[in-house]
Amino acid sequence: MLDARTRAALDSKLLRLGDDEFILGHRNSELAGHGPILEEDIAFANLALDELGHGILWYRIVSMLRDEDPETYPDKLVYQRVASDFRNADVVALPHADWAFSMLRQFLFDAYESVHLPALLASRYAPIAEAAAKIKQEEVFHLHHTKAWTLRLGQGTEESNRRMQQALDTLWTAFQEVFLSLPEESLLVESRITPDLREIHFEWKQTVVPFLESCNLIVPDTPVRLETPDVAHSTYIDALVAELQQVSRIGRDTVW
Amino acid sequence: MTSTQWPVYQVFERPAPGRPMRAGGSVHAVDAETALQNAWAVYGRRPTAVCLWVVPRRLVLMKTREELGGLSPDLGTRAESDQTFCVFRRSGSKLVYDEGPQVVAPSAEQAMVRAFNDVEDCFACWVFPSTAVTSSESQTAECAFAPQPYKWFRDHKSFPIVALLREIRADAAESNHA
Repeated sequence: MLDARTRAALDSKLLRLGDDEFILGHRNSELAGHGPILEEDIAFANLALDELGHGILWYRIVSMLRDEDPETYPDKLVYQRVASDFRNADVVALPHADWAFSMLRQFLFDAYESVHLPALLASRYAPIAEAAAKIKQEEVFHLHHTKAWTLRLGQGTEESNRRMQQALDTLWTAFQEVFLSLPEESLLVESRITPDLREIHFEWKQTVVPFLESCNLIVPDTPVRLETPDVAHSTYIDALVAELQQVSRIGRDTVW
Repeated sequence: MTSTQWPVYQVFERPAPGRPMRAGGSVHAVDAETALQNAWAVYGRRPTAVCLWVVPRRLVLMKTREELGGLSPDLGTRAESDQTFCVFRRSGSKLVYDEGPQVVAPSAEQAMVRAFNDVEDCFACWVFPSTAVTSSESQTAECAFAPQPYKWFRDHKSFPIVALLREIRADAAESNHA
């Protein structure tokens, strides 16, 4: 049994995991119909759809933890929560700048998941290990796809390399927030419910940095501090959530 | 002016283990690796295919029996320059191109002559060298192309949004009226 403090920390952490996936998926779904070519449009929309599904898997665990119905409660978390209650890292809510930007962000996220999920498989909290096993299957394809594009855009033309470099300069520091521990997360690490994010971050950098360099990209040399706990939520999330909830607000409690 | 259109790759799929390959459609891609990824996203994922091939369209000879004309089979002995060709045929009333037995021949045209001769009611044929194939089975990350039978999806009819919104608006109008 979990004590009250650990339970509260787990609740926040699960929301964090779900919100990172769901908000990234929602952002990328905005690109449906705007891909550079039809086939890629379908492929990228599929990735976005997968991320929405992964978000829901985490929300289902939140539902169980709160003694709510896992079938209907995830909808409430998405459609009835105020923007300031979303726990995602700001970087996943940043608006689309260009194709290079969205592809690179998805790649950085997939690379993070490819390190994070295997660690979550070892979670002492069974529902987390089960969800991680489901998500991991799909992340193999995600990483395969976004790696192929990052490489081709990075090594491609002068223009594609310039855009990729610009995207990396914008995203690199902002993305580190994904590895920021929540205030009480150490309780979860001690109970071996979730891994220490500093280790995940170290491993992520070890795989991502050499790969980006092989794509002819320069990884920014900005010092990364993972200790700053409270980062003010960006204003982007307000507009994003307002749009996300627009239709559901017309008919509250409607079954879709 | 150069074309900005990406090359086209023909996509072939194996619908179930042990079944012959069949033509699936085509995708645009910059190279074979991304063609395979696009093929998986567009054709392989749902419904499922257990194996996918992509072949650059410029390497596929596509002809009907009429178009090929009266080319006669070359009955010469096998030469070292002979290649193995994959053959896909449309025959009878079938709408799809199915995989036929591979043919060893000195040229794509000769491979096609033999393919037409083998099956009488075959009226159109695709032929390409077996070396032109990039298969999902030969990829190192083969699980990246695994089918996802556990994925289900609903078509648009499952989301009666228009009808639902009409209902909600009617309710709102009624309560405003009262």
